[in-house]
Amino acid sequence: MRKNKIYSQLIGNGEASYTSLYSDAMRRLRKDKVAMVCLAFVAILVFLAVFAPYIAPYSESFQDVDNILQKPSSIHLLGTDEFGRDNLSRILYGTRISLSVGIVAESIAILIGVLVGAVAGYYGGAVDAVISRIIEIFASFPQILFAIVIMFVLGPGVINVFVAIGLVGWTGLARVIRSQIIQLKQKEYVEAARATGGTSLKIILRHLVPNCLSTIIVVATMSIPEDIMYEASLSFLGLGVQPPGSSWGAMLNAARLHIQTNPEYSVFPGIALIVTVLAFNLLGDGLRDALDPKLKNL
Amino acid sequence: MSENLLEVKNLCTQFHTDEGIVYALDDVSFSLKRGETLGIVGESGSGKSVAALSTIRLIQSPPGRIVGGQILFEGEDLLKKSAKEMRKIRGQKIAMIFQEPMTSLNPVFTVGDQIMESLRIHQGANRREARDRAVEMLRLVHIPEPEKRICDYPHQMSGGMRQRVMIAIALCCNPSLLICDEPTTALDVTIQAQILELIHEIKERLDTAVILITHDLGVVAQVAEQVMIMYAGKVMEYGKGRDVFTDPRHPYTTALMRSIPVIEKKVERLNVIRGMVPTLSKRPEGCLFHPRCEEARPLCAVERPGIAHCAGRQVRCWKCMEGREG
Amino acid sequence: MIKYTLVRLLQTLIVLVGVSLVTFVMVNVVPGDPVALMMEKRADPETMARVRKEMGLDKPLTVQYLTLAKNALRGDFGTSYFARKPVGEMLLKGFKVTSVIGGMVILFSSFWGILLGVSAAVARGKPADKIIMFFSTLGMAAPSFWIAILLQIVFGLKLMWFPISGLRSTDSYVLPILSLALIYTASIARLSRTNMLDALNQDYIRTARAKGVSELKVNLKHGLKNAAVPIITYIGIQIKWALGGSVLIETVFSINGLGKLMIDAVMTRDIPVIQGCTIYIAVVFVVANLIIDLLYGLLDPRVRVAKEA
Repeated sequence: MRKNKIYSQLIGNGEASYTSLYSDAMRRLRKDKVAMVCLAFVAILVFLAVFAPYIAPYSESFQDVDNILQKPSSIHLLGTDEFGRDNLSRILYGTRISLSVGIVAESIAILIGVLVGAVAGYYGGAVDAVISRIIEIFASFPQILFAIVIMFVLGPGVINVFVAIGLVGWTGLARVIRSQIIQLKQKEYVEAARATGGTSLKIILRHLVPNCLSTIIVVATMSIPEDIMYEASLSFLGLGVQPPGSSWGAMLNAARLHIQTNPEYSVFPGIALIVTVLAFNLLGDGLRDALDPKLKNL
Repeated sequence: MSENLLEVKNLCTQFHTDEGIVYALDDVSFSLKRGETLGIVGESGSGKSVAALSTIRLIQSPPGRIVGGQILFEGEDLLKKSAKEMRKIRGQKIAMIFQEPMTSLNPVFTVGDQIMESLRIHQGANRREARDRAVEMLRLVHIPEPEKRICDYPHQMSGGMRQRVMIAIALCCNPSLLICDEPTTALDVTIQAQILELIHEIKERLDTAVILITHDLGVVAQVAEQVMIMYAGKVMEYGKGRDVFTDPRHPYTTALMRSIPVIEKKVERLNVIRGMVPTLSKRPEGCLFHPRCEEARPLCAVERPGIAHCAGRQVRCWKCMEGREG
Repeated sequence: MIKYTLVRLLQTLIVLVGVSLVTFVMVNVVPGDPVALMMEKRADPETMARVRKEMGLDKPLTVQYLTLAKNALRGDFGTSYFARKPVGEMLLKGFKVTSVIGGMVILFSSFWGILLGVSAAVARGKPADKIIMFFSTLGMAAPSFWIAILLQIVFGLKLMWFPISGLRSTDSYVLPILSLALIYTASIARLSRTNMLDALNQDYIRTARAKGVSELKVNLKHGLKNAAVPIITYIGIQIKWALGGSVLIETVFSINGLGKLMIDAVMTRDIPVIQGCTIYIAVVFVVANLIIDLLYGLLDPRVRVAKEA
């Protein structure tokens, strides 16, 4: 409130409207219809993921052995797979995998990426040179390939997939954070913090990283769809989620073997994927436009 | 055939934005004779740049549109010309230089190429002729070693030199009108003086009419015969430079003059004009300046004033319209 | 320009060393005795020790790495545990296939992507722009292996226009190439549009118009040349995508390229092949990137002159 008063004095009888960075961004986001629709959709996905056991007509592993490879019918809305498992239920359960990948893998990527980028950007000089080369080395592997090698090292399984994708995706964030920190550290408040006796670590954590928050949010949201794709790809290749776990990618792998007899199978998991990825993509765009249109070049 | 090179009458330009229609120019009129200099002065958002861009029809449409008025150049209304005809006029009959020399030159072409482009488009010069003329132009704007500099890229030059190059590009086809949109704002003071000097010299030499747009009163006072003070898209005062500055009639002009700090006087606070420029999509009722005007009366809040003629110039103020001053 | 080239070369060298090191460490950290795997745990300890010695697996890791590095420079990546063939040979064979498909994909998507993206930028706001962007947003979200399967179903099985596996005939290349190319075109279109719009928003475009330059020239000469520079880097990115994407597509279409080689090696735990593939692919990418960077320097005078200054 004090800020409002001073502000009003400065501009005379004009209106004083004091908005924080985020409420401004939220206002812009709310105006973006596409982003709002996507946000709603993501919310629905989260709901489906959390309540899948209650919503899905069957459990993901239940095998209706009398009804193998059935086409869509009234008891199995999207048909069954080669073990008699209900496709619709498995697709619903699949949201859990996809969303978890987004959260877990991205969290790992954020942790590593922000740390590495911040250290490189803040210290500069030789530290930066070495770290930048390391980033470049890790960025030289095509991501899927790298993920495959990591899965080779770790072995198949859900958790390993999350770890692998996190380890594969941090380089983009590291680069962006690094350049942001380089710009930010020139600012006066960093000098001020140093002058009042802040240690480097404290400066990085308290002053610099929070100012990168909007960048982190944007990059993370835009990386989630990539992560979902990688998980689907790994599971498609048989390296990721193993049945009866329901990953859309794994479902497509199984469906592939039956394209002669049951081509419809290949359609639904793919649609689930494309719609989810699309929603996150557009949401990420909306967030970026709302938080910092200057990031459009990413 | 009027003796005026340029006559702008009742020009109105609007921009359609998410927040509503922005009335960037509202009933703007001015004229210019050959070889004359007009200074357009105003704060940010006053519409002075829009006036310049509208004159050569460089307003991006959408979201902008010139919705009314006439722009008579050499007797012909530019608003009625086709895109092709306008392209012939731009760069050749009317040229424009912009505020940011850093970004106004294309970074991937040499300075010479950019001058020669104009020459080849408008004068059909071949490479050889264009090159010679380009060197000549660089010499005209006092760039040392022009034969070497012609192969330089913009980022290899300083801000002042880039602005000179912009001037060279603008003048290479000998236009009769040169519009300068805040040519010195992005430069430091010593360079500023040089560039103004250059513009003046060229004007004398080539008998070019100049429209100089700026927010710097000092600059205008030096070079402009005619002065037009703009505020929120409207013309507030328009007349001979000397008159306007020594004996301002519009309260806005008076306030502007007063806000210039005088170096000999010692003051506690600088004079400011209280308040802020109105958002052009939500303009106040009545006179656009009245919320900030010290001489405002009840009438000013209700009705928009028209142009009054007093003291040999045009003033948009009720004060001049009512009282028989001047 | 020379200085810039040398600097980039040096950086590339460092990265290559790093890449091989990282791969070596990752792949050889795997717990599990490769010899035991190879011999399917049937042999006795002495035979295993002998084989281990023969394959140089008894030496300390650093020596193993240096041997690998030295041999790799000569193209010798060791011998596949399972195919018993020199890995280098397998890599070359696979690379021939993958590079043909990858090359065609890149050509297709670069051409169409840039064309559509730039057109969308120039037609900004108009229906053409909206349509192109709609399809490209959709395309970017589609998984390549799903598109591959759909193409197989529609054009392979239902319409029977193209074969759905193997590479026996020329037309068997069509579906694999399209599966990747359609998606990459979408991404490139989007990226190109953004860059073109950025260029068209710059002040020098306004200057060009003020000079009376025709709209066509403004877009193509002034705008595109500036936008071209970042757009060129997308070709480098696509090489990375194509190398990664080959894994998926080759699986779907049963094509014997590098991707399939890699996946099969992972399934059979064939370490030399995994190692070889990973390093090979990363090297291809790094070298391609180097070439692109040098091209970048040629196109954008600011980059090379700045480095020389």
